[in-house]
Amino acid sequence: MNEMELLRELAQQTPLPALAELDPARARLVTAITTDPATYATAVAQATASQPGPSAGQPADLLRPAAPAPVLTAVKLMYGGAASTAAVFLIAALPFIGDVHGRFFGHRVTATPLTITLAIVIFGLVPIALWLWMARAAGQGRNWARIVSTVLFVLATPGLQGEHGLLSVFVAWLTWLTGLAVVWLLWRPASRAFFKRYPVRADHAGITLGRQRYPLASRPAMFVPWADVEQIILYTGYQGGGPAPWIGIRRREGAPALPSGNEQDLFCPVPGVPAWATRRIKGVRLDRERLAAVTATVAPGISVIQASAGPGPGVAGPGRSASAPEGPD
Amino acid sequence: MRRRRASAAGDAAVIESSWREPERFAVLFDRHAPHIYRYLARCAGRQVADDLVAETFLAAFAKRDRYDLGYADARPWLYGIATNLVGQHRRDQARQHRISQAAAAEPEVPGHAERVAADVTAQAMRTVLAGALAALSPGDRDVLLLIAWEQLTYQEVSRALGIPVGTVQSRLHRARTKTRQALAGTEAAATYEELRTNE
Repeated sequence: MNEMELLRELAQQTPLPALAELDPARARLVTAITTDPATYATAVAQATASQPGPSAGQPADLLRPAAPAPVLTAVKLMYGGAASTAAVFLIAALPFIGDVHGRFFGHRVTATPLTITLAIVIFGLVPIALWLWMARAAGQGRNWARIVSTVLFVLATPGLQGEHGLLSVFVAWLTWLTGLAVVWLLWRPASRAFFKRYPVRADHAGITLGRQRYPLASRPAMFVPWADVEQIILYTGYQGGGPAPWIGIRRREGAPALPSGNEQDLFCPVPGVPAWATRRIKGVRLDRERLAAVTATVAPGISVIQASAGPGPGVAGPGRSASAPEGPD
Repeated sequence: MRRRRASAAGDAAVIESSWREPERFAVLFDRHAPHIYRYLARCAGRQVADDLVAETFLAAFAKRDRYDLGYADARPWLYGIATNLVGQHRRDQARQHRISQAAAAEPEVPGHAERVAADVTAQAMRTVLAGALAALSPGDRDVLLLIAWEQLTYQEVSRALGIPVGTVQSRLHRARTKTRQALAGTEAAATYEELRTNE
Protein backbone atom coordinates (compact mmCIF):
# COMPACT_ATOMS: atom_id res chain seq x y z
CA MET A 1 0.00 0.00 0.00
CA ASN A 2 1.54 3.28 -1.06
CA GLU A 3 0.89 6.70 0.43
CA MET A 4 -1.91 7.50 -2.03
CA GLU A 5 -3.78 4.31 -1.23
CA LEU A 6 -3.27 4.96 2.44
CA LEU A 7 -4.69 8.45 2.10
CA ARG A 8 -7.73 7.13 0.27
CA GLU A 9 -8.18 4.36 2.79
CA LEU A 10 -8.22 6.80 5.66
CA ALA A 11 -10.40 9.24 3.79
CA GLN A 12 -13.08 6.61 3.42
CA GLN A 13 -13.63 6.90 7.14
CA THR A 14 -15.19 10.31 6.61
CA PRO A 15 -18.65 9.46 5.27
CA LEU A 16 -20.80 11.63 3.07
CA PRO A 17 -23.13 13.74 5.20
CA ALA A 18 -26.86 13.18 5.30
CA LEU A 19 -28.74 15.81 3.31
CA ALA A 20 -30.38 17.07 6.49
CA GLU A 21 -26.97 18.03 7.80
CA LEU A 22 -26.62 20.42 4.90
CA ASP A 23 -29.94 22.17 5.43
CA PRO A 24 -28.44 25.22 7.17
CA ALA A 25 -25.98 25.72 4.33
CA ARG A 26 -28.74 25.26 1.77
CA ALA A 27 -30.90 27.79 3.59
CA ARG A 28 -28.11 30.37 3.34
CA LEU A 29 -27.83 29.74 -0.38
CA VAL A 30 -31.59 30.01 -0.86
CA THR A 31 -31.55 33.32 0.97
CA ALA A 32 -28.88 34.58 -1.39
CA ILE A 33 -30.85 33.31 -4.37
CA THR A 34 -34.05 35.03 -3.38
CA THR A 35 -32.30 38.34 -2.80
CA ASP A 36 -30.47 38.22 -6.11
CA PRO A 37 -31.56 40.98 -8.51
CA ALA A 38 -32.09 38.43 -11.28
CA THR A 39 -34.75 36.79 -9.16
CA TYR A 40 -36.62 40.06 -9.05
CA ALA A 41 -36.23 40.55 -12.76
CA THR A 42 -37.65 37.28 -13.87
CA ALA A 43 -39.40 35.52 -11.04
CA VAL A 44 -42.55 37.52 -11.19
CA ALA A 45 -42.88 39.97 -13.99
CA GLN A 46 -41.31 42.52 -16.24
CA ALA A 47 -43.40 45.36 -14.93
CA THR A 48 -46.12 45.93 -12.47
CA ALA A 49 -49.50 47.33 -11.93
CA SER A 50 -48.73 49.38 -8.91
CA GLN A 51 -45.80 51.36 -7.68
CA PRO A 52 -45.50 51.14 -3.94
CA GLY A 53 -44.78 54.55 -2.53
CA PRO A 54 -42.62 55.56 0.37
CA SER A 55 -45.60 55.56 2.67
CA ALA A 56 -46.04 51.85 2.11
CA GLY A 57 -43.26 51.21 4.57
CA GLN A 58 -41.21 48.08 4.82
CA PRO A 59 -43.25 45.86 2.47
CA ALA A 60 -42.73 48.34 -0.33
CA ASP A 61 -39.01 48.36 0.28
CA LEU A 62 -38.98 44.60 -0.07
CA LEU A 63 -40.38 44.89 -3.56
CA ARG A 64 -37.23 46.49 -4.84
CA PRO A 65 -33.84 44.79 -4.91
CA ALA A 66 -30.79 46.45 -3.44
CA ALA A 67 -29.22 49.04 -5.70
CA PRO A 68 -26.72 47.33 -7.99
CA ALA A 69 -23.18 48.59 -8.39
CA PRO A 70 -23.83 50.54 -11.63
CA VAL A 71 -26.62 52.52 -9.97
CA LEU A 72 -24.53 53.25 -6.90
CA THR A 73 -21.72 54.45 -9.15
CA ALA A 74 -24.14 56.56 -11.19
CA VAL A 75 -25.46 58.21 -8.04
CA LYS A 76 -21.94 59.06 -6.90
CA LEU A 77 -21.17 60.47 -10.32
CA MET A 78 -24.30 62.60 -10.19
CA TYR A 79 -23.19 64.12 -6.93
CA GLY A 80 -19.85 64.68 -8.62
CA GLY A 81 -21.70 66.26 -11.54
CA ALA A 82 -23.36 68.65 -9.14
CA ALA A 83 -19.94 69.63 -7.85
CA SER A 84 -18.47 70.14 -11.30
CA THR A 85 -21.52 72.09 -12.39
CA ALA A 86 -20.96 74.34 -9.42
CA ALA A 87 -17.37 74.73 -10.56
CA VAL A 88 -18.44 75.64 -14.09
CA PHE A 89 -20.88 78.12 -12.71
CA LEU A 90 -18.30 79.75 -10.49
CA ILE A 91 -15.86 80.04 -13.37
CA ALA A 92 -18.51 81.52 -15.60
CA ALA A 93 -19.65 83.85 -12.85
CA LEU A 94 -16.21 85.25 -12.15
CA PRO A 95 -16.56 87.99 -14.80
CA PHE A 96 -19.52 89.27 -12.84
CA ILE A 97 -17.62 89.53 -9.63
CA GLY A 98 -15.90 92.87 -9.58
CA ASP A 99 -12.26 93.05 -10.57
CA VAL A 100 -11.68 89.33 -10.46
CA HIS A 101 -12.68 89.05 -14.10
CA GLY A 102 -9.63 90.82 -15.30
CA ARG A 103 -7.26 88.19 -14.08
CA PHE A 104 -9.13 85.32 -15.72
CA PHE A 105 -10.86 86.48 -18.83
CA GLY A 106 -9.54 89.89 -19.66
CA HIS A 107 -12.93 91.49 -20.24
CA ARG A 108 -15.71 92.89 -18.14
CA VAL A 109 -19.41 92.20 -18.46
CA THR A 110 -21.82 94.80 -17.26
CA ALA A 111 -24.94 93.43 -15.68
CA THR A 112 -27.73 94.63 -13.47
CA PRO A 113 -28.40 92.99 -10.10
CA LEU A 114 -31.58 91.41 -11.50
CA THR A 115 -29.71 89.89 -14.42
CA ILE A 116 -27.08 88.57 -12.10
CA THR A 117 -29.68 87.03 -9.84
CA LEU A 118 -31.46 85.38 -12.77
CA ALA A 119 -28.19 84.10 -14.15
CA ILE A 120 -27.22 82.62 -10.81
CA VAL A 121 -30.55 80.85 -10.49
CA ILE A 122 -30.87 79.63 -14.09
CA PHE A 123 -27.28 78.69 -14.81
CA GLY A 124 -26.14 77.84 -11.34
CA LEU A 125 -28.66 76.71 -8.80
CA VAL A 126 -31.13 74.99 -11.13
CA PRO A 127 -28.60 72.66 -12.79
CA ILE A 128 -27.08 71.84 -9.42
CA ALA A 129 -30.50 71.14 -7.96
CA LEU A 130 -31.32 68.94 -10.95
CA TRP A 131 -28.17 66.90 -10.43
CA LEU A 132 -28.97 66.41 -6.76
CA TRP A 133 -32.61 65.67 -7.42
CA MET A 134 -31.81 63.07 -10.07
CA ALA A 135 -29.18 61.48 -7.85
CA ARG A 136 -31.63 61.10 -5.01
CA ALA A 137 -34.46 59.80 -7.18
CA ALA A 138 -32.27 57.37 -9.11
CA GLY A 139 -30.84 56.08 -5.87
CA GLN A 140 -34.39 55.34 -4.77
CA GLY A 141 -35.07 53.34 -7.91
CA ARG A 142 -37.44 55.81 -9.57
CA ASN A 143 -37.62 54.88 -13.20
CA TRP A 144 -38.65 58.37 -14.24
CA ALA A 145 -35.39 59.64 -12.81
CA ARG A 146 -33.27 57.86 -15.36
CA ILE A 147 -35.58 58.98 -18.17
CA VAL A 148 -35.43 62.59 -17.03
CA SER A 149 -31.69 62.30 -16.52
CA THR A 150 -31.26 61.10 -20.07
CA VAL A 151 -33.42 63.89 -21.47
CA LEU A 152 -31.52 66.51 -19.48
CA PHE A 153 -28.25 65.10 -20.68
CA VAL A 154 -29.36 65.36 -24.29
CA LEU A 155 -30.64 68.89 -23.77
CA ALA A 156 -27.40 69.95 -22.12
CA THR A 157 -25.19 68.66 -24.90
CA PRO A 158 -25.53 71.68 -27.27
CA GLY A 159 -24.47 73.92 -24.40
CA LEU A 160 -20.92 72.63 -24.75
CA GLN A 161 -20.42 74.88 -27.77
CA GLY A 162 -21.11 77.98 -25.72
CA GLU A 163 -18.14 77.52 -23.42
CA HIS A 164 -15.07 79.71 -23.77
CA GLY A 165 -11.76 79.63 -22.03
CA LEU A 166 -9.58 76.61 -21.46
CA LEU A 167 -10.59 75.99 -17.88
CA SER A 168 -14.27 76.52 -18.54
CA VAL A 169 -14.27 74.21 -21.57
CA PHE A 170 -12.37 71.56 -19.65
CA VAL A 171 -14.77 71.54 -16.73
CA ALA A 172 -17.78 71.65 -19.06
CA TRP A 173 -16.54 68.63 -20.97
CA LEU A 174 -15.76 66.87 -17.72
CA THR A 175 -19.33 67.49 -16.60
CA TRP A 176 -20.69 66.28 -19.92
CA LEU A 177 -18.62 63.11 -19.75
CA THR A 178 -19.90 62.55 -16.23
CA GLY A 179 -23.42 62.82 -17.55
CA LEU A 180 -22.63 60.39 -20.33
CA ALA A 181 -21.29 57.86 -17.83
CA VAL A 182 -24.34 58.34 -15.63
CA VAL A 183 -26.74 57.69 -18.51
CA TRP A 184 -24.78 54.64 -19.58
CA LEU A 185 -24.73 53.23 -16.05
CA LEU A 186 -28.43 53.85 -15.44
CA TRP A 187 -29.37 51.96 -18.60
CA ARG A 188 -27.07 49.01 -18.06
CA PRO A 189 -28.86 45.63 -18.03
CA ALA A 190 -27.67 45.13 -14.46
CA SER A 191 -29.58 48.25 -13.43
CA ARG A 192 -32.84 47.19 -15.06
CA ALA A 193 -34.27 45.20 -12.19
CA PHE A 194 -33.69 48.06 -9.77
CA PHE A 195 -35.89 50.41 -11.81
CA LYS A 196 -38.67 47.91 -12.40
CA ARG A 197 -41.92 48.05 -10.52
CA TYR A 198 -43.06 44.86 -8.92
CA PRO A 199 -46.55 44.16 -7.64
CA VAL A 200 -45.51 41.03 -5.77
CA ARG A 201 -42.41 39.35 -4.58
CA ALA A 202 -41.75 35.88 -3.21
CA ASP A 203 -38.64 35.37 -1.14
CA HIS A 204 -37.36 33.13 1.61
CA ALA A 205 -39.51 34.85 4.23
CA GLY A 206 -42.84 35.13 2.47
CA ILE A 207 -44.80 37.08 -0.11
CA THR A 208 -44.80 40.84 -0.35
CA LEU A 209 -47.73 42.52 -2.08
CA GLY A 210 -47.35 46.05 -3.38
CA ARG A 211 -49.74 48.91 -2.89
CA GLN A 212 -52.58 49.08 -5.37
CA ARG A 213 -54.81 52.02 -6.14
CA TYR A 214 -58.09 51.35 -7.90
CA PRO A 215 -61.41 52.98 -7.12
CA LEU A 216 -62.97 49.74 -5.94
CA ALA A 217 -59.91 47.68 -5.28
CA SER A 218 -57.38 49.70 -3.33
CA ARG A 219 -55.00 47.71 -1.18
CA PRO A 220 -52.06 48.77 0.95
CA ALA A 221 -48.65 47.15 0.69
CA MET A 222 -48.42 44.14 2.93
CA PHE A 223 -46.27 41.17 3.77
CA VAL A 224 -47.58 37.61 4.21
CA PRO A 225 -45.17 35.11 5.79
CA TRP A 226 -45.02 31.63 4.32
CA ALA A 227 -46.46 30.24 7.55
CA ASP A 228 -49.74 31.97 6.66
CA VAL A 229 -49.80 30.88 3.02
CA GLU A 230 -51.78 27.85 1.87
CA GLN A 231 -51.73 28.38 -1.87
CA ILE A 232 -50.96 30.96 -4.53
CA ILE A 233 -53.72 31.45 -7.09
CA LEU A 234 -53.43 33.05 -10.49
CA TYR A 235 -56.77 34.00 -11.94
CA THR A 236 -58.59 36.51 -14.08
CA GLY A 237 -60.15 39.42 -12.22
CA TYR A 238 -62.37 42.23 -13.39
CA GLN A 239 -61.84 45.02 -10.89
CA GLY A 240 -60.46 48.26 -12.19
CA GLY A 241 -61.43 47.66 -15.83
CA GLY A 242 -61.70 44.67 -18.12
CA PRO A 243 -60.36 41.19 -17.55
CA ALA A 244 -56.79 41.15 -16.31
CA PRO A 245 -54.52 38.67 -14.60
CA TRP A 246 -54.59 38.75 -10.84
CA ILE A 247 -52.71 36.95 -8.13
CA GLY A 248 -54.26 35.89 -4.85
CA ILE A 249 -53.00 34.26 -1.71
CA ARG A 250 -55.07 31.63 -0.02
CA ARG A 251 -54.26 31.86 3.63
CA ARG A 252 -54.03 29.00 6.08
CA GLU A 253 -56.75 28.43 8.58
CA GLY A 254 -55.89 30.12 11.83
CA ALA A 255 -53.62 32.68 10.20
CA PRO A 256 -53.89 36.10 11.87
CA ALA A 257 -56.52 38.33 10.32
CA LEU A 258 -55.42 41.09 7.97
CA PRO A 259 -55.91 44.68 9.15
CA SER A 260 -58.89 44.86 6.81
CA GLY A 261 -60.23 43.27 3.64
CA ASN A 262 -60.65 39.83 5.17
CA GLU A 263 -63.82 39.11 3.20
CA GLN A 264 -63.59 36.67 0.30
CA ASP A 265 -62.36 38.33 -2.88
CA LEU A 266 -65.33 38.66 -5.22
CA PHE A 267 -63.59 37.50 -8.36
CA CYS A 268 -61.21 34.86 -7.10
CA PRO A 269 -62.73 31.44 -7.83
CA VAL A 270 -60.89 29.79 -4.97
CA PRO A 271 -62.35 30.20 -1.48
CA GLY A 272 -60.24 31.40 1.39
CA VAL A 273 -58.65 34.30 -0.50
CA PRO A 274 -59.20 37.64 1.28
CA ALA A 275 -59.75 40.68 -0.88
CA TRP A 276 -56.67 42.42 0.44
CA ALA A 277 -54.53 39.40 -0.40
CA THR A 278 -55.06 39.89 -4.14
CA ARG A 279 -53.28 42.12 -6.62
CA ARG A 280 -53.79 42.95 -10.25
CA ILE A 281 -50.87 42.22 -12.54
CA LYS A 282 -51.46 45.01 -14.98
CA GLY A 283 -49.64 44.87 -18.29
CA VAL A 284 -47.54 42.06 -16.99
CA ARG A 285 -46.77 38.62 -18.21
CA LEU A 286 -46.51 36.77 -14.98
CA ASP A 287 -44.36 33.68 -15.44
CA ARG A 288 -46.24 30.97 -13.61
CA GLU A 289 -43.48 28.42 -14.08
CA ARG A 290 -40.88 30.74 -12.61
CA LEU A 291 -43.10 31.68 -9.71
CA ALA A 292 -43.76 28.00 -9.04
CA ALA A 293 -40.05 27.24 -9.21
CA VAL A 294 -39.16 30.01 -6.80
CA THR A 295 -41.93 28.97 -4.44
CA ALA A 296 -40.86 25.34 -4.57
CA THR A 297 -37.33 26.41 -3.70
CA VAL A 298 -38.12 28.66 -0.78
CA ALA A 299 -41.40 27.20 0.46
CA PRO A 300 -41.79 23.55 -0.51
CA GLY A 301 -45.37 22.32 -0.25
CA ILE A 302 -47.06 25.54 -1.26
CA SER A 303 -48.54 25.20 -4.72
CA VAL A 304 -49.12 27.77 -7.41
CA ILE A 305 -52.29 27.12 -9.34
CA GLN A 306 -54.07 28.68 -12.27
CA ALA A 307 -57.79 29.03 -11.54
CA SER A 308 -60.40 30.30 -13.91
CA ALA A 309 -63.77 31.93 -13.47
CA GLY A 310 -66.15 33.80 -15.66
CA PRO A 311 -66.69 37.57 -15.46
CA GLY A 312 -68.86 38.97 -12.74
CA PRO A 313 -68.54 39.13 -9.02
CA GLY A 314 -69.28 35.57 -8.15
CA VAL A 315 -72.47 35.48 -10.17
CA ALA A 316 -73.37 32.21 -11.79
CA GLY A 317 -74.60 32.22 -15.35
CA PRO A 318 -73.52 31.48 -18.89
CA GLY A 319 -69.77 31.63 -18.92
CA ARG A 320 -69.72 32.78 -15.36
CA SER A 321 -69.59 29.65 -13.33
CA ALA A 322 -66.50 29.32 -11.23
CA SER A 323 -64.36 26.39 -12.11
CA ALA A 324 -62.19 24.30 -9.91
CA PRO A 325 -58.49 25.00 -9.74
CA GLU A 326 -56.34 23.23 -12.28
CA GLY A 327 -54.45 21.55 -9.51
CA PRO A 328 -51.10 22.09 -7.97
CA ASP A 329 -47.96 22.38 -10.05
CA MET B 1 -17.52 8.41 -9.28
CA ARG B 2 -18.55 7.71 -12.85
CA ARG B 3 -22.17 8.47 -12.08
CA ARG B 4 -21.13 11.64 -10.34
CA ARG B 5 -19.10 12.72 -13.33
CA ALA B 6 -22.07 12.04 -15.59
CA SER B 7 -24.36 14.17 -13.47
CA ALA B 8 -21.75 16.88 -13.34
CA ALA B 9 -21.70 16.99 -17.12
CA GLY B 10 -24.77 19.23 -17.04
CA ASP B 11 -23.34 21.69 -14.55
CA ALA B 12 -22.54 24.30 -17.17
CA ALA B 13 -26.13 24.25 -18.41
CA VAL B 14 -27.39 24.64 -14.86
CA ILE B 15 -25.09 27.57 -14.20
CA GLU B 16 -26.00 29.21 -17.48
CA SER B 17 -29.70 28.94 -16.70
CA SER B 18 -29.05 30.30 -13.21
CA TRP B 19 -27.92 33.56 -14.77
CA ARG B 20 -31.55 34.25 -15.60
CA GLU B 21 -33.18 31.93 -13.09
CA PRO B 22 -31.06 32.10 -9.92
CA GLU B 23 -33.04 29.42 -8.14
CA ARG B 24 -31.62 26.89 -10.59
CA PHE B 25 -28.33 27.19 -8.74
CA ALA B 26 -29.83 25.13 -5.93
CA VAL B 27 -29.53 22.14 -8.28
CA LEU B 28 -25.78 22.52 -8.17
CA PHE B 29 -25.89 22.52 -4.39
CA ASP B 30 -27.98 19.36 -4.25
CA ARG B 31 -25.66 17.72 -6.73
CA HIS B 32 -22.27 18.48 -5.21
CA ALA B 33 -22.64 19.83 -1.69
CA PRO B 34 -22.25 16.46 0.06
CA HIS B 35 -18.91 15.80 -1.63
CA ILE B 36 -17.67 19.33 -1.13
CA TYR B 37 -18.70 19.06 2.50
CA ARG B 38 -16.81 15.81 2.94
CA TYR B 39 -13.72 17.33 1.36
CA LEU B 40 -13.95 20.31 3.68
CA ALA B 41 -14.53 18.06 6.68
CA ARG B 42 -11.43 16.08 5.81
CA CYS B 43 -9.37 19.23 5.37
CA ALA B 44 -10.63 21.37 8.19
CA GLY B 45 -12.90 19.34 10.42
CA ARG B 46 -16.65 18.92 10.55
CA GLN B 47 -17.47 21.99 12.57
CA VAL B 48 -15.65 24.26 10.18
CA ALA B 49 -17.03 22.38 7.17
CA ASP B 50 -20.57 23.32 8.15
CA ASP B 51 -19.74 26.94 7.59
CA LEU B 52 -17.29 26.55 4.74
CA VAL B 53 -19.63 24.53 2.56
CA ALA B 54 -22.16 27.35 2.77
CA GLU B 55 -19.45 29.90 2.04
CA THR B 56 -18.28 27.86 -0.93
CA PHE B 57 -21.66 27.85 -2.60
CA LEU B 58 -22.37 31.47 -1.71
CA ALA B 59 -19.09 32.47 -3.34
CA ALA B 60 -19.83 30.29 -6.35
CA PHE B 61 -23.31 31.78 -6.66
CA ALA B 62 -21.94 35.31 -6.45
CA LYS B 63 -19.54 34.76 -9.32
CA ARG B 64 -21.56 32.34 -11.41
CA ASP B 65 -21.74 34.88 -14.22
CA ARG B 66 -17.99 34.51 -14.66
CA TYR B 67 -18.12 30.73 -14.98
CA ASP B 68 -16.51 29.42 -18.17
CA LEU B 69 -19.28 27.46 -19.85
CA GLY B 70 -16.67 25.57 -21.82
CA TYR B 71 -16.27 23.35 -18.77
CA ALA B 72 -19.30 21.14 -18.37
CA ASP B 73 -18.21 19.80 -14.99
CA ALA B 74 -18.28 22.41 -12.22
CA ARG B 75 -16.63 20.25 -9.59
CA PRO B 76 -13.09 21.57 -10.14
CA TRP B 77 -14.44 25.10 -9.92
CA LEU B 78 -16.20 24.30 -6.65
CA TYR B 79 -13.21 22.44 -5.23
CA GLY B 80 -11.04 25.40 -6.14
CA ILE B 81 -13.29 27.75 -4.22
CA ALA B 82 -13.44 25.34 -1.30
CA THR B 83 -9.67 24.97 -1.28
CA ASN B 84 -9.22 28.72 -1.25
CA LEU B 85 -11.62 29.02 1.65
CA VAL B 86 -9.79 26.32 3.57
CA GLY B 87 -6.53 28.16 2.95
CA GLN B 88 -8.11 31.39 4.09
CA HIS B 89 -9.42 29.64 7.17
CA ARG B 90 -6.00 28.24 7.97
CA ARG B 91 -4.41 31.61 7.60
CA ASP B 92 -7.06 33.20 9.75
CA GLN B 93 -6.75 30.62 12.44
CA ALA B 94 -3.00 30.23 12.09
CA ARG B 95 -3.28 26.76 13.40
CA GLN B 96 -1.33 24.27 11.41
CA HIS B 97 -2.57 21.35 13.45
CA ARG B 98 -6.02 21.66 11.87
CA ILE B 99 -4.98 18.91 9.48
CA SER B 100 -4.46 16.63 12.42
CA GLN B 101 -8.06 17.10 13.49
CA ALA B 102 -9.24 16.53 9.96
CA ALA B 103 -7.25 13.36 9.52
CA ALA B 104 -8.22 12.12 12.95
CA ALA B 105 -11.62 11.64 11.62
CA GLU B 106 -14.93 10.27 12.67
CA PRO B 107 -14.47 6.90 14.33
CA GLU B 108 -16.46 3.95 13.14
CA VAL B 109 -17.87 1.40 15.51
CA PRO B 110 -15.65 -1.67 15.28
CA GLY B 111 -17.40 -4.91 14.56
CA HIS B 112 -14.78 -7.37 15.72
CA ALA B 113 -11.40 -7.69 17.31
CA GLU B 114 -9.43 -7.45 14.10
CA ARG B 115 -11.18 -4.28 13.20
CA VAL B 116 -10.36 -2.82 16.58
CA ALA B 117 -6.73 -3.69 16.11
CA ALA B 118 -6.76 -2.23 12.63
CA ASP B 119 -8.35 0.94 13.89
CA VAL B 120 -5.79 1.37 16.62
CA THR B 121 -3.07 0.97 14.06
CA ALA B 122 -4.90 3.18 11.60
CA GLN B 123 -5.11 5.82 14.30
CA ALA B 124 -1.38 5.65 14.68
CA MET B 125 -1.05 5.91 10.93
CA ARG B 126 -3.32 8.90 10.88
CA THR B 127 -1.09 10.61 13.38
CA VAL B 128 1.97 9.97 11.27
CA LEU B 129 0.12 10.93 8.13
CA ALA B 130 -1.21 14.07 9.72
CA GLY B 131 2.28 15.10 10.63
CA ALA B 132 3.46 14.42 7.10
CA LEU B 133 0.61 16.45 5.60
CA ALA B 134 1.16 19.29 8.00
CA ALA B 135 4.80 19.44 6.97
CA LEU B 136 3.86 19.93 3.32
CA SER B 137 3.56 23.36 1.81
CA PRO B 138 -0.07 24.46 1.33
CA GLY B 139 0.24 24.26 -2.45
CA ASP B 140 1.66 20.74 -2.41
CA ARG B 141 -0.90 19.62 0.13
CA ASP B 142 -3.84 20.97 -1.87
CA VAL B 143 -2.72 19.07 -4.95
CA LEU B 144 -2.14 15.86 -3.04
CA LEU B 145 -5.49 15.94 -1.28
CA LEU B 146 -7.54 16.87 -4.32
CA ILE B 147 -6.04 13.94 -6.20
CA ALA B 148 -5.92 11.40 -3.38
CA TRP B 149 -9.21 12.24 -1.69
CA GLU B 150 -11.37 13.73 -4.39
CA GLN B 151 -9.82 11.79 -7.26
CA LEU B 152 -9.60 14.80 -9.54
CA THR B 153 -7.48 14.50 -12.65
CA TYR B 154 -4.39 16.61 -13.25
CA GLN B 155 -6.38 18.82 -15.58
CA GLU B 156 -9.15 19.26 -13.04
CA VAL B 157 -6.71 20.14 -10.27
CA SER B 158 -5.02 22.54 -12.65
CA ARG B 159 -8.35 24.23 -13.21
CA ALA B 160 -9.34 24.16 -9.56
CA LEU B 161 -6.15 25.77 -8.33
CA GLY B 162 -5.42 27.89 -11.37
CA ILE B 163 -1.98 26.44 -11.98
CA PRO B 164 -0.46 24.70 -15.02
CA VAL B 165 -0.73 20.93 -15.33
CA GLY B 166 3.05 20.67 -15.16
CA THR B 167 3.00 22.42 -11.80
CA VAL B 168 0.32 20.01 -10.60
CA GLN B 169 2.53 17.08 -11.54
CA SER B 170 5.64 18.50 -9.91
CA ARG B 171 3.76 19.42 -6.73
CA LEU B 172 2.20 15.99 -6.55
CA HIS B 173 5.55 14.32 -7.03
CA ARG B 174 7.09 16.44 -4.31
CA ALA B 175 4.18 15.85 -1.93
CA ARG B 176 4.19 12.12 -2.50
CA THR B 177 7.92 11.88 -1.99
CA LYS B 178 7.80 13.77 1.29
CA THR B 179 4.81 11.81 2.53
CA ARG B 180 6.40 8.53 1.56
CA GLN B 181 9.59 9.47 3.38
CA ALA B 182 7.65 10.42 6.47
CA LEU B 183 5.79 7.15 6.49
CA ALA B 184 8.71 4.93 5.59
CA GLY B 185 10.15 2.92 8.40
CA THR B 186 7.52 3.80 10.94
CA GLU B 187 6.35 0.94 13.07
CA ALA B 188 2.76 1.95 12.52
CA ALA B 189 3.18 1.69 8.77
CA ALA B 190 4.62 -1.79 9.00
CA THR B 191 1.89 -2.99 11.34
CA TYR B 192 -0.83 -1.46 9.29
CA GLU B 193 0.52 -3.00 6.12
CA GLU B 194 0.70 -6.35 7.82
CA LEU B 195 -2.87 -6.12 9.00
CA ARG B 196 -4.04 -5.14 5.56
CA THR B 197 -2.21 -8.07 4.03
CA ASN B 198 -3.79 -10.52 6.45
CA GLU B 199 -7.35 -9.29 5.86
